[in-house]
Amino acid sequence: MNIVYFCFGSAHSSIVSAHIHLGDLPSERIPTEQEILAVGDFDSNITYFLGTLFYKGTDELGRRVFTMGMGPEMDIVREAFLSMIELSGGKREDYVFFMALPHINRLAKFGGALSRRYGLTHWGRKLAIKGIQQSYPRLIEFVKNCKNALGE
Amino acid sequence: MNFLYYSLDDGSKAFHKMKHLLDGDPFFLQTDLTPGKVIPIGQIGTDLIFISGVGKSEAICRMAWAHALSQNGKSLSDWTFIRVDE
Repeated sequence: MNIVYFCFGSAHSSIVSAHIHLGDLPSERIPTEQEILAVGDFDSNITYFLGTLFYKGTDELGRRVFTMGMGPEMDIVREAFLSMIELSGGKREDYVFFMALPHINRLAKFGGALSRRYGLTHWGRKLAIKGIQQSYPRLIEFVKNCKNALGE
Repeated sequence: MNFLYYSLDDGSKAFHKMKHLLDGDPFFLQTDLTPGKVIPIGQIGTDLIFISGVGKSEAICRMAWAHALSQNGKSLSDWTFIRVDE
């Protein structure tokens, strides 16, 4: 089983969700700025790597956890990936996708865009972290629901 | 060798282009087109021909195809991705 958290750029909502899933970020409290930055890949992906399947780790049940940034046409990119999985001998049902983007607030999206799209990394990253912290209870609930949907 | 012809729509342009090259004898009907889906459409000699439509996500889909192949241990060098412009 492969779990793919996806969003627009694989820089914020999917990254934090994957690390909550893996236990790298707490699931009972809001992490500090330092804890969010310590995961390493927060606010780091660039446009060139949209469509890339990033391996983040294996969870406690042996399932591989990935993130992917899909840009604005997420349904097309997901279908492109899954149909090629099938054509190359895999099974599409081995990949479960969860969209993380709706579970962060506007501040996180605005800060993320400032940092990743417009290059204002210093202020954009600060705003993105603040927005992620404000959205964190929703992200915890989102990951919990994903795990429940997987039958955990 | 696998040749994937794709167009920047739902795959219609790639379908019509390859239908012509395959003497109007594709494996499937155009109504089967789904944006993003890679569809086998025919064979020329030993080469397998596929089509797809990528909308406005050309670079992202190409990256996603490459990673899907990698997941199954397949080599990207066995595939050629060709954009159909008309």
